[in-house]
Amino acid sequence: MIEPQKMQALADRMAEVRGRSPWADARRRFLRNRAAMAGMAILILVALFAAFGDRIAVWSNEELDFSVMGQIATLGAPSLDNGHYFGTDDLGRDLFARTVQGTQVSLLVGIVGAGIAVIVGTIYGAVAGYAGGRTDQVMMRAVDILMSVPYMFVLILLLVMFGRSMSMLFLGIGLISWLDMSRIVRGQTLSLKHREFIEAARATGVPAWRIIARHIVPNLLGVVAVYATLLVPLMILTESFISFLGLGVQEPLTSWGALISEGAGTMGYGTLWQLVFPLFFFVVTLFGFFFVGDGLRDALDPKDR
Amino acid sequence: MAMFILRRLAVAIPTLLALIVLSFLLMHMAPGGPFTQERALPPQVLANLNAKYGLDDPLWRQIWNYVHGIVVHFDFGPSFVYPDRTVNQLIAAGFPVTLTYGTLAFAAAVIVGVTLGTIAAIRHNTWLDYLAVGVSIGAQVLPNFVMAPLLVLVLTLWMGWLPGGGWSFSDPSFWIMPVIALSTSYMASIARITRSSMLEVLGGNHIRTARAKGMPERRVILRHALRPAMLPVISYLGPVFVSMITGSVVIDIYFSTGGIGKAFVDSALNRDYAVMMGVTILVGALTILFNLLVDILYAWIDPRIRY
Amino acid sequence: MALLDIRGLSVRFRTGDGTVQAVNGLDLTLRAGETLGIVGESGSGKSQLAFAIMGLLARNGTATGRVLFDGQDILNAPPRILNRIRAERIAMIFQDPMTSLNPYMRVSDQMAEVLVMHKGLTQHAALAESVRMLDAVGIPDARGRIGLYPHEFSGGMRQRVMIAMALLCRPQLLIADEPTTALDVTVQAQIMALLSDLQRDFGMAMMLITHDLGIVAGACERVGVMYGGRIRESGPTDAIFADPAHPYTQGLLSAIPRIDAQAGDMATIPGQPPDMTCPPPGCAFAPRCAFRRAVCDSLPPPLEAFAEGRGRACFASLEEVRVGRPDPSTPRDPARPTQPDRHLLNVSDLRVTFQIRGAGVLPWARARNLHAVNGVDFTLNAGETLGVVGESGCGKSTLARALVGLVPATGRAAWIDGRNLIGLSPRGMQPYRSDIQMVFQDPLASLNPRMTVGQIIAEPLTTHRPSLGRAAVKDRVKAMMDKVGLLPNQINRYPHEFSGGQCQRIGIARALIVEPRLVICDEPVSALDVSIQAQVINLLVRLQDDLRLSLIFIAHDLAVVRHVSDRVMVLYLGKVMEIAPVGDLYATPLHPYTQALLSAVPVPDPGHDPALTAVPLRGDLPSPSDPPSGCVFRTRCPRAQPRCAAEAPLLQGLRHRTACHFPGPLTDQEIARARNAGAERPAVSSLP
Repeated sequence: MIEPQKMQALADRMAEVRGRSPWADARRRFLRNRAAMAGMAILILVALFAAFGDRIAVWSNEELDFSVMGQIATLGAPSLDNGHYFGTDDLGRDLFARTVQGTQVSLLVGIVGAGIAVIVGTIYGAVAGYAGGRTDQVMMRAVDILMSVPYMFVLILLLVMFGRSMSMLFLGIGLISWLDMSRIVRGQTLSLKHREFIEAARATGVPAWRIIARHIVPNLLGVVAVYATLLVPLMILTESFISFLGLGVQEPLTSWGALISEGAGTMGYGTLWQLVFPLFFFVVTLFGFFFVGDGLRDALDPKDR
Repeated sequence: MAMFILRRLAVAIPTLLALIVLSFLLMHMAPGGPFTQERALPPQVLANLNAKYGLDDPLWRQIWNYVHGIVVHFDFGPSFVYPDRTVNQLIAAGFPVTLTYGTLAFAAAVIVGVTLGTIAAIRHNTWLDYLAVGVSIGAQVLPNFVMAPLLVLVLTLWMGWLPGGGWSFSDPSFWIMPVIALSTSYMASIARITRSSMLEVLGGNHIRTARAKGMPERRVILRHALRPAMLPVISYLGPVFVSMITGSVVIDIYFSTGGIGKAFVDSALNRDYAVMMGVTILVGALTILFNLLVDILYAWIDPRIRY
Repeated sequence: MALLDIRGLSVRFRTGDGTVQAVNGLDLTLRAGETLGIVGESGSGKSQLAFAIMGLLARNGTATGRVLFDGQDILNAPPRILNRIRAERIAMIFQDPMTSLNPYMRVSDQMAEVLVMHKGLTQHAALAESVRMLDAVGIPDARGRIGLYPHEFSGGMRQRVMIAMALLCRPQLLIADEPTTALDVTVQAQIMALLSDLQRDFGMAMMLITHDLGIVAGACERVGVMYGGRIRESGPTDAIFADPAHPYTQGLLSAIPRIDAQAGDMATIPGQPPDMTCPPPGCAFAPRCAFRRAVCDSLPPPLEAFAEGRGRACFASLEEVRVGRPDPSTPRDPARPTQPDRHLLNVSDLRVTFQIRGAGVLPWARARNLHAVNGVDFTLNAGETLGVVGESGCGKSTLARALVGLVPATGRAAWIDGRNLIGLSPRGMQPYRSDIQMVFQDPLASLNPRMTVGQIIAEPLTTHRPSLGRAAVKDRVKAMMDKVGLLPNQINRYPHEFSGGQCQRIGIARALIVEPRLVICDEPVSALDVSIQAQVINLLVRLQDDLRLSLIFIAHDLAVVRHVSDRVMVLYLGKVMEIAPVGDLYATPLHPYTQALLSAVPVPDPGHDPALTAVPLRGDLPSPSDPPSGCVFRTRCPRAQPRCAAEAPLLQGLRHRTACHFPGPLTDQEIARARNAGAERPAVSSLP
């Protein structure tokens, strides 16, 4: 005799309940954060602009439009008719194409710079924090010393002495940007290391590599993700700063900083669009990253606000 | 406290020496000597130049001379490009300018930032709070090299209120734009840090005690909450200082103020290594000194810190 | 007229997860000069009640109802009015004196500002008065120490400072919110005695908020029992302890382990406390109640008087509840199969030394040594439970960590096969790790938040039995979950979806999955509420009997230790003071420290007068980094002699071992002498 009620109860008992993982919780909070979603939308649009802007552009970024030369202030203004959607720069080059290219370069520098920082900083910080003791002291003392180096000056020194190139720029930015990251990761690792669930794993004899892989890294990821998001705009700022001084990427390459610098130099002649378009992309992208970073922080660490 | 300062000096001095030696080695490693130019100099001239600047000495001797000159005589040696001027002269010309607007910008960022952040925290979740947060988020994406052209555009080109560049110690209208351009984004960061740390402190147990003691709100905030809320701000001052010195380069270029930033960029474009290193080392020394001051301030505010 | 009359008080908090209904229509009165205890578990709303009275709710909280103080409604009064009442007429002390005092201000400034602000005294006069008050609460050398910062005082002294600060204006009412929860038991006894004295001397009323029924029994005239934001029962302390009239009070009283009675299986309250974001529409206790009926689920029962000065909020009739009162305890099976001659673990001269960095000029200055465990000897028999007790800093947790190889140690810890576990390489230790497992103090922190329950419990299994297949591991995990009282279908849930008690069950399941022979429990129930604590202890005891485990049970709660242990070891500053079978140790403690410790434990029985039996201990624990010479306990010992300073006593005896030059029960004379010597506090009447 099968009792359907009992069977149902048994089935309920046996059916495994799905858990709500902390990641799922964070995703839900993030998706509900309107500022973060707006930031996300902005970033996607900017990324699309960087990726497909070339296809819309009528002019290439290197061509000089001889028809507007000499009368940039009047003929070089933004116009749909002659294909200079954003107008032209002072030499008669298409600003739309230049902005697309500047966006590509700046995003690349930001993401690669932040990437280097995340990889180097996370490994360095995690090793220092997990090793602890004297190793940790020596490693963090080195970071302290590097922190008191006026890095922008050293970076410019490097660029001047070894020649300006993209790789030098990446190297220089990457060299300094990991310091903050390593401190944050090290602090987090230290506090994780003394958490009881790590002790429980160690007491059970879980091998060190597995403790790092299963217990430490997943719990670091949140912090790393937040700071990585906030590092990208910082890298963009750094690169733009150097390019603004005319020490960054070299022509014909360009970046937001270089474009803003050019636009700022010529705004007195009535060609305001040369400043406004690059500046718009620059500001909007920074907003996007900051909003997404803040949203991630709130989502991953809800009590910290 | 004396012990603590000594301990910090015991770290700071080797750091500074390491910075000097590293910069020197960097210059030494740089491809081509300082006199490498498009037109190669006659070998005899090059040899003479090298002899004059001591570049034919063994490396350790060069390092020793350089370090010795800086430490004992505060002498950064001659410029490689302008043989009649020393690095000291080039730096000294710009330093007072940088110091003037730098100090003002620093003070403005701290005072305005802390006030704004505190008000936002006290009026948490009111329109004042939202306004302050909005302003500080907006200002975060306006670094000095964006602020500078925008200020010139509005205040000089459109309104014609302020001179678009140049410097005068006697006319403060030349100071306004450099100070605003340099301080805005740091003011915003300081406001944000103050706000969140003030909110945290105000939720703390000892503030509850102060309220339970019947202290008026003014006293609770000024006497009990402000000090601990300042701690994160103070640890942020070191990075602000460095960034402001860095930012002064933009100010000097954009507003033609003639501070040390100008000397640095000029030397960078001329490959005048001696001046670049001089500025870098000077800035490094100031940074280390400033961080020491910050640490002392921190220990003074938080009595639990005893090194 | 009542000094404090609370009518229909409700407190709400708006949070991201919904509105928390912390207090729900609470009524309460307090007469002048009276001591009222408010008892409740975490989340019962007892602290929010106090904050609401004082107008100290967090920003997101709102309070409604009436709080009449001396006839004046002070609930939501403007700050101008409240600030004339706070400190002047109602003062408050808090749980954690370290963070509740301002760490950035000198004690002198913090105290003086109260008098300057409320009494208009000059700074000078205010300081003089503050010194007098510090004297009155028993701070030695008050004049010399008033200029110090809070962190320069010990925990007990900090709470005395807090009390002195609260009493500066001679308030009519003192609200004490868990005033001793953060303190060690001997210090707790000092503070409670001080509070009682001061209350009598000042003639003030006191509202004592606590989770500890023992403290209430010793200190309060009347008690209100809170659950789910309401008073469930109120009345004279004697009556409530003798004849609890609410099922929750009954359950609470039978669930607390008693130090004065050996008991076996502990009575429990089943289930969990309610989630106050969506409390049950009716009686919040109904889901856990044995007397539940239909009406309980729809209507909240009102608090009604049923006898002189007594009230209860329950729909079940008084007779029914009285008759159905749960049996407090059934004794644990005395013939448990322990094997006294088979030493599972034989520990001798175990030492753990930490290095703490000194404060020299150079960053690489030499470190100082802190002997956290300083030569400990004991044996553990197969199948028995060894309780380890001691106050904070005694090294009990470090001892546990040393035994499982989490901290480096020296000495011997011989396993049953003769192998010394101390100093083994990780590889050498590996085979023993599945035999020795550990259960940790903080249930949630000991579980990786990013792993599912199944992964957490399976981890030791996959580490030590790598040959097991996935399915086999899962089957075993599910079986183990069933065994510890978790639903096996919850295997994919994450730790944050469980309550504290359930998390501790997960921790226990993780420890037992590899079938260890020894489980070291480090304060396994100290983070849990009384009603949950009993559930976990019962589980541990049952599993021990089923699986023939040996346990090392570390706790600061002597009553819990008595409950579960066969033998008990008392630690003080890293050394063993006494180790004996549980009956002997609790009946005839030989070491003065053990006696003091036992006498300091609050007994949940109003008939028990702590003042008669308490052995007062002077001062606080010395710093473990700078222990006294000779016998480490001598600085606080009522029996200390010159010999004690010169020579460290050895652990002596056969079954009942103690480390004391002058062992044996303290005489009444000695206790009286110690009490007089401890009375450093001048009478308050000498104050102006």
